[in-house]
Amino acid sequence: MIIKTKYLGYVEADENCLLKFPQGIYGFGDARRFALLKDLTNSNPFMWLQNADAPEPCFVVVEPQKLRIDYGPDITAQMAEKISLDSEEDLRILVIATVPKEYSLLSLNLKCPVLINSAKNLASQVILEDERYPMRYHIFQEAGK
Amino acid sequence: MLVLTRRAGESLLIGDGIELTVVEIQGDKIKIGINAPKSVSIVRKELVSEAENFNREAACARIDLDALGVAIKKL
Repeated sequence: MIIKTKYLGYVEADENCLLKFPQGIYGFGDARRFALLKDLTNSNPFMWLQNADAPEPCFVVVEPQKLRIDYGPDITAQMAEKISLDSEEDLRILVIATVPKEYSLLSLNLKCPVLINSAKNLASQVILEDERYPMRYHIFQEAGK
Repeated sequence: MLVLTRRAGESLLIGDGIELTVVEIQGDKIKIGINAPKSVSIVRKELVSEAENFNREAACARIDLDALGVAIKKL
């Protein structure tokens, strides 16, 4: 299928590779299919999580480990069930970033990760009870501490 | 909205599988215990609003991913 993206123009994507969000994503309940798009030519850890059915919404996402963030949320049985997770090996975790004009104010939502079952391409954004992880983790400020 | 009065230690049953218990009352804080099937998601309402707000903010920006990738390498 052809996806009309927010930033990359028209992109060809295999429909079977799209991430399915059966419950949508917070604030965007209607968006149920997303494509994970990245630039393969460089080592940028950030990726686009692009709605497959419209240019909006498109999020910036990243694996926290790639930014050397110590991140190991407890995945409850209920969360695992949301993405029909059978094996922990299939679990991939992304977090969404807000990117202000001033990059130093970049914040990552460690409280509400996107859990992906990479074997089934099922995904869900969850809210952690875990108090260790804030909704706005300012990575540049944290790195400066 | 159905409004009921309960004392500490008392419970409510919702449907077949959900039990709410008032565990403790202290000033303006009430501790609530919940027994529910795993398939029922339980989350503080204000957290859902915050998550929605964060996502709307995250989605509305105009972002240069390459520049961001360069900036993060300086960390």
